[in-house]
Amino acid sequence: MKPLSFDIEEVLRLFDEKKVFDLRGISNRLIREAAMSNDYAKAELGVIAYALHKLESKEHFVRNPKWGKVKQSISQHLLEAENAVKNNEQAKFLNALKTVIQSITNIDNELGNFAQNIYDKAKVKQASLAYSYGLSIEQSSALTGADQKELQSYIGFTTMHDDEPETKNISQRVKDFLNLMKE
Amino acid sequence: MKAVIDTGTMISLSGTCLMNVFKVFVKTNRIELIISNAVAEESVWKPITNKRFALNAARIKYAFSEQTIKVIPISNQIIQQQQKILQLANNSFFTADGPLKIIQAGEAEALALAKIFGAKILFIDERTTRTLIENPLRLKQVLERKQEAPIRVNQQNIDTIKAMFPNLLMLRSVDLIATAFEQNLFDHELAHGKLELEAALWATKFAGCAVSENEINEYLNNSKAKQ
Repeated sequence: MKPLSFDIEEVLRLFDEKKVFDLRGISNRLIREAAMSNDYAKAELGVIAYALHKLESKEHFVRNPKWGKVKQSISQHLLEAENAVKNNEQAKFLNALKTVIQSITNIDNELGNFAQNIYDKAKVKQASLAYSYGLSIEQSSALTGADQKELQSYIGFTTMHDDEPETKNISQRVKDFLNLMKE
Repeated sequence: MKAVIDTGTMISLSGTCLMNVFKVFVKTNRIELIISNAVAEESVWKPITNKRFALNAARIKYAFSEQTIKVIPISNQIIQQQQKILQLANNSFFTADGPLKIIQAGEAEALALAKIFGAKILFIDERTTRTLIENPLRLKQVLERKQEAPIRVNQQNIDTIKAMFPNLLMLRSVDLIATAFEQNLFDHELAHGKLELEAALWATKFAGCAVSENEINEYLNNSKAKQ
């Protein structure tokens, strides 16, 4: 597992180089590692990377004249986060990530087309990934900060449950219940 | 008969407008349904302030006021039991990086209530907590396959948690709907027909209940749903 400072540096590099699909790739790796080690910082960085991937892939964001300034601010605060991790400054690190999230949310509120913002969607999307690694719904929600109901609703529309045979099927559970009622 | 219900099942049933079927099911089978404070918080008091989920939350709140579901206040006994379950569950499976934290406080609280109140049934749509109790070694296989890494098991912890719930029947919202159909309890919401059953089962799957397409199809093909 890579150290967090390395991961931030990578996210920053990929964001600066506009490597949209690689941002998504690193986001998935970060969520996988976060799920395995219950690492909330990696999970948050994973959600940020996913949200940056979404922003960078939308023409109406990147072509807007305001984008350059926002991008610069995000890069600057990612760098601050990286330095804070290297210097073991927890509060500074959290503050820098908070500012990055705020920048994402602000530009999305201003230029986005959907009621649900990109950052909240990113939390749900990446929580579903954590769920696919075997964590419970509540644990997956907690890891990324996603709303549990949003996550459950999102998972319902995936095929995630289709490739996992249940211990007991519907008929067996119905039968068990009816037998229990006879006792 | 006492039963505990988890957040996910409440959300599935209220979100699919099947609360009337649920209420009649509870009444007909004389189920004394209890939930924890954490579940009440997650299924009612938190979403009631969110425009997208407020109506679902209001439906569940109404079920509280009708006494279909009783909310159990938190106590030291519940907290102690919940902490014990969290400790066991989250130290049962290990990767090279350490223990896998697989469940959270709300899920552990539902199990704690089931243990303390001697519940016979836990209504839970969520896959991981259910598999942990029903078939922990299968959960190990799922974790290994999904995480593409070897998983070490603390067998003592798994045996302890399994022994806490030797006869607890786990039911999902799809199982509840199927049972309600077999008991002819649909008429408070829907006609008693295969089409209605199929629609209700699919609606709960899309609401997030852990059930596969094959399982629904198999049930519809093989069961009394042929009526």
